[in-house]
Amino acid sequence: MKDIREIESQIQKIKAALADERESVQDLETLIGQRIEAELWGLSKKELEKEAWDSFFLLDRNKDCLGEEPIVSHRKFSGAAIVLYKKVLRALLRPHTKTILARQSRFNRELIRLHLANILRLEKIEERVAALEATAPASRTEQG
Amino acid sequence: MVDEPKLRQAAGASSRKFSRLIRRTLEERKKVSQDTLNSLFLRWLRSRPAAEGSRRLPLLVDDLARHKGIQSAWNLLSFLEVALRLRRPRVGIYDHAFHYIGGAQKYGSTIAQTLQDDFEVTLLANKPVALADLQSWYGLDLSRCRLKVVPLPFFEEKGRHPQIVDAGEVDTCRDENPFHPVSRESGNYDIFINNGMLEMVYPLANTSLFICHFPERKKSRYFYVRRYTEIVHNSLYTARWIEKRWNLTPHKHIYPPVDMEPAVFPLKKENIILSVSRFDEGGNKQQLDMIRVFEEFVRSQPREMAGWKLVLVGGSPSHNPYLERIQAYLQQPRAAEIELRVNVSASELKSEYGRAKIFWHFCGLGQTDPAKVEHFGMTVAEAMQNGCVPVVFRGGGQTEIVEDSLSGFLFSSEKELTDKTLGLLENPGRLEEMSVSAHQRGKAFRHEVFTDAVRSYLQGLLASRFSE
Repeated sequence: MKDIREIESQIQKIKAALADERESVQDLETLIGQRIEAELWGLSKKELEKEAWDSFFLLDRNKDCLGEEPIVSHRKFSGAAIVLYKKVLRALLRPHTKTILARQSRFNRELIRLHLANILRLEKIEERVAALEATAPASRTEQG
Repeated sequence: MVDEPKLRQAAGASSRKFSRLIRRTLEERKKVSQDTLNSLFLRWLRSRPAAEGSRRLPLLVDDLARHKGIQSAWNLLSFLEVALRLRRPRVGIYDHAFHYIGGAQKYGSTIAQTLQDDFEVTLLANKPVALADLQSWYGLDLSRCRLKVVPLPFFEEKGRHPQIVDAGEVDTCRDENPFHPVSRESGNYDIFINNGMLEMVYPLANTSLFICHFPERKKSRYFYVRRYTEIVHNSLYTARWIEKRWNLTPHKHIYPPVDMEPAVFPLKKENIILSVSRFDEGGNKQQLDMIRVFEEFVRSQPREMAGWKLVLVGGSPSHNPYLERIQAYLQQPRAAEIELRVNVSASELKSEYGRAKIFWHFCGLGQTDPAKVEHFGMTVAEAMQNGCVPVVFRGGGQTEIVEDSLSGFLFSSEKELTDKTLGLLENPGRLEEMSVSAHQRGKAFRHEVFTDAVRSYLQGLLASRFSE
């Protein structure tokens, strides 16, 4: 690099612009651009339940894949042309993608129903096991 | 997966191609680590003309912020500043208990002192504490360090202890993670060192170290130790428990600094058996058991024990039920000579070490909880530096400090303790020889050994992680 000072001043400029934005973000997950996932191995039963429900609600919120994300470009001059091009392309492909995505959305909904049913079934089984455990010492005494 | 060789080649050949490939990688959400991105950008900036780099950098950083979060863009810029030697690396050393005197806090403060000339060091605490306090508590010079207090609203709530930050109070199913303010703060440093072994702090710095003095808690939903670049452990005992309890393999072993060496050696010794340990409110250090064993020892061996006394030294808070029990016990007439010394100054402590011939330490005897066994055993090493022959419980970090029958003795039962102590009393020549061996062995844990290890470790990390 011939002129390190030029790079230095550019880094400073970008950092100054980024600093306010970074400061304004309160949520840690937004700051790092991803969900902070817990390690499931080694968690207690109560924590696993909490994780299962959190994941379930996340899936439920995102089951519909028909919603379209906005098309944007950060480029100063060519940006408008790129956005227009992508919008046209999207409109042309919509009839085909809609069919596929509608099937995917149906599949997602069913899968989420299945998960919910399984979580509820597991809860019922746990209740039953707890009830059986509560009566188990008495049965052993009877057998003994 | 990202095609790293292709990206690396583009970084060295063409700015246009590199920009295109990076953008595509980010847009297609390919898995690429922060370390890889840092190294690619550094290669690209180094191999292209400055004007070209400085023109394209803002756009690429903007892309990075949009796809991988603002922190990722921030980390990249911070990495470039350090790797291009535009500024000194920033180190943040966090300990939620910096406002208390403790062995772990001495460990963190000594790291700060060691690094302050080569790094910009900031000590991060949760409760107010002055740098001057840390300097006087541990006899350190922290004049080139800064201190920042990061308050945790959760622990400031009404009804909580005003001085204690206890992660055990957090209900991981109900409460939001209260340590997120510290996690956020960690992103302001190039190297973040979590010295308080708080596994709930999510590190955001480019390089992060988790110093573990013992894995106290089991894994929870807020367990982020795996996110750290490396785990440092204070003893092999701690390392074993990190593997057992957390299923993680620690990376670097650095024993704590022990600086109790006398100016001259050998010292003029007296017939004293010394115990130095905090008067733990729960009685974890077992001083009361030690008093009873000593009394029984004096009763059973009146000839050998004539003229010997037991001196118990340790720190304690003002109200301590366990200490009050010991004081009440010692107020009754006793057959043995026992002295109790609470909250003595550093110079008085040094003088006690200098006078004692033998050092007893019970902590861990009869315990089933591994956290209640000494994780290292700082006072054992301090005693050895002063030529006290240690007779200590065979467990925890103490087995790493004392070489049994060479520089001291290890015991598993009270009988073994008294038998081995008696062996020393009956053979003054052996006691003197062992005193010299203990002194020699104590040198292995000197302050300089610690600072050399820390300096070379951090310099190595800097060289390997802040380069292409």
